[in-house]
Amino acid sequence: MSITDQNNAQKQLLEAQTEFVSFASHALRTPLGISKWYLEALQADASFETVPELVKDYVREIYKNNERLLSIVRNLLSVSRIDSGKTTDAPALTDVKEIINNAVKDVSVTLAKNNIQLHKQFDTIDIPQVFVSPTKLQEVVENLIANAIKYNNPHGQITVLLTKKDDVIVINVTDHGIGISQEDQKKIFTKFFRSEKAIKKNTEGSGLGLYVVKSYVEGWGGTVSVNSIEGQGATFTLTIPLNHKKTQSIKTKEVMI
Amino acid sequence: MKKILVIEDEISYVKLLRRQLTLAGYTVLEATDGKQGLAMAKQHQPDLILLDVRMPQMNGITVLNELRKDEFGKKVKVILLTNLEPDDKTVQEVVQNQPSFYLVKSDTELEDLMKKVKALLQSD
Repeated sequence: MSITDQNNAQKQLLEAQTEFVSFASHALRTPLGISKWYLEALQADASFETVPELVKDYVREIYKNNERLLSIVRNLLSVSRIDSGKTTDAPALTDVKEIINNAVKDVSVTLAKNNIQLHKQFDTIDIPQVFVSPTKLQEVVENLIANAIKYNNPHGQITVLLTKKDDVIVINVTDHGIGISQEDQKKIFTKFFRSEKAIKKNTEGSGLGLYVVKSYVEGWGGTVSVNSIEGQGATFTLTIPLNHKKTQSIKTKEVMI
Repeated sequence: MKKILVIEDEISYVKLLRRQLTLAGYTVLEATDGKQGLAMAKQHQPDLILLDVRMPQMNGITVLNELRKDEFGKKVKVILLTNLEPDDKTVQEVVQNQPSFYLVKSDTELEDLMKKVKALLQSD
């Protein structure tokens, strides 16, 4: 087989895989979405008040795990789009402060449930807008905060810091949880990777969140990195360039499964 | 009483929306495909339409485009219920400059949908 043939075969295989993931994710979303609303209706129903606490707990567990499945499906969809290069990225001038505020609002229930305090620190200087997809930027920030919640200590703290440095916007998300070993830091941005400690600490998670973060951010010409000491928490640092033309011309690269 | 037309092919969704909307005090009309939905919209002139996107016969986007062609259809409020992504171009284009909104079903809590319905019908 010639190299061209091999490349074509590999490309076809990648396409088939991507198509399958996309199909499966859409097919899964419908029944999961239906269960979500029925479970919400059940818990909101007046008669649910009179149900024994044990039964309420059963329903809450079912709901929690249904949400977990939905979140995995969402991440799978993002990954299939990234891998096929078909991200429908509609970039626009985006106010990063507003995105962070929206992301924090979306996770506020989870924060409260886990007794975790989140502090936002925005640089007092004017933060210029960046040219990225606002929905994707929010997905990125939410993914990082969700991790900071998951791997934090009970009653822990999270800091989200926004600054400008030279020609980039910098977002730092810091937690004081279990941290990540030097060895694992090299692998955490790869698809499906989950550290032993992460699995032990919290069974939730698909190993896709940080892969999605890295793919999007690099697509904008930015970077993502981690700084962590095991047992003392982690800081994830995102940079997004302010040079609009540059961010526009860089396309999400194709990644092999 | 305000009339809401639900155009949705998944019976489980129809059943739940019928009960929830009825409980909230609305009159509910139902269609299980796009073609039937479009005909019912024209005939009954509801105050609000909940419109699924992926459907047999005629998809929700086509229904909305057809609907917007006549006087009643131009003004009627529509919530597109999708399972597509919020940045999906087709959905975004369709809802621009029209009294239409979209919600991603599996990302939206039932309570938030009900609040949105209430807010839209109260502003009349």
